[in-house]
Amino acid sequence: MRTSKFLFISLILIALSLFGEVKAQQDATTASTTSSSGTTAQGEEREAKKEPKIVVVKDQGLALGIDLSPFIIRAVKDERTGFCVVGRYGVRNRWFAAAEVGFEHIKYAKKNYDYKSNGSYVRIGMDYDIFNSEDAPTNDNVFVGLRYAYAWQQHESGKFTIVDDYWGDYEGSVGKTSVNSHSVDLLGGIRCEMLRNLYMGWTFRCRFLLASKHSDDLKPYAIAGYGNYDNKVAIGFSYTIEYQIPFNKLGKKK
Amino acid sequence: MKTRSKNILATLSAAFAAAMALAACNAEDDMQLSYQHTVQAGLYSMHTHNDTTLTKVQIFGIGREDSLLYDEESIGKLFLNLNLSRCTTEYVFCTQTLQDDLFFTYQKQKEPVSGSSGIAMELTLDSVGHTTTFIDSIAVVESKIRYNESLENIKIFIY
Repeated sequence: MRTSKFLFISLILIALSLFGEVKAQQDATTASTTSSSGTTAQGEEREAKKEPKIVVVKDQGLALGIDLSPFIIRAVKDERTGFCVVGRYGVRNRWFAAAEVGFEHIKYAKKNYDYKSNGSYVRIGMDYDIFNSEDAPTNDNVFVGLRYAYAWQQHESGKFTIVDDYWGDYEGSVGKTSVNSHSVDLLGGIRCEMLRNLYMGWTFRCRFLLASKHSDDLKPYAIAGYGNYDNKVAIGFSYTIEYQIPFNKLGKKK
Repeated sequence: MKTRSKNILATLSAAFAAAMALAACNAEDDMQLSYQHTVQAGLYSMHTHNDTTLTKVQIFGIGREDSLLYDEESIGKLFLNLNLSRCTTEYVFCTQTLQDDLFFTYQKQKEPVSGSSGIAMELTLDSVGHTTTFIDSIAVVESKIRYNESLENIKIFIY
């Protein structure tokens, strides 16, 4: 049931991303046809010359947005509630500096174990755009990237039970303690300009937990912005909606 | 070229959806913790030091006289729960017409098992005492009682 719900949400968001991509390409095609129709004579002259190599410079600037994945995770697994803000800055053509800041509340309850945590995280890193759209210039990106993430959280176990059929179950609790974690994300994804300066995209992430410092009494159930602590390698994702502030715009050049 | 670009994005999106479906299918760990605070004892003959068996054994905890842990059983190994609410546990050990008492004192330490399974208790035996009706001596071979470990903690030598 959870899987089908998850797939349904994924497919809707992917369909929206693809719609943006197709629309952008249609716009580019129209622009290209219009400019070529009125210049037949000049075009013949140009044909004689060798065509220069096309270099497409995509719109650059500061983009700010939100990551929808915490809401999707919340819809599928109600134990994790979070919010994440993303930022991206085009430092050079094809290179983007990226930062993500968020918080996550984790509440996990089983018959014999209750766990609660409140934490925040920050991720910083770079993306490299591997998508060269020379025939249909768009601002869309297909990128690979890397993030370093640091998470800090306070966690506690309000109740744990050790079952003992003879002497009777033992119940205890563990008070609030701190957890500090470091991880790295390897990611790949796409980002499409759906409307002018409005982008939507997703990333698929492979997360590696480098270190986690916690008290001897309690292991974290999940690490803020990372996922289950028991998985030293975790699979993650993000769906982002971003608005790119159109300053430092280099424009498209042919 | 345009078609190729679209195909690339569509393929990547499909792969992403498939990967997300796999990620959502992660099985949850519903392990329940119990009996990780049990002393394992082996019965041995004091003459030959070989393992031995006692018949018609009855064992109950002091404070739980109404509930027998072993009832008229033939046993060569014992599994004795330690009371986690206290730091001492006492058992009465009867075989046919003979009776001995066993006393355990120990320290408790919370031991987180995993993020999803919760917390167990690690126990360290400080001392094991006994009366000497049919028990000659007791040797502690492993004083730590840890979750998910199955080790013999004490050897009980019988006359």
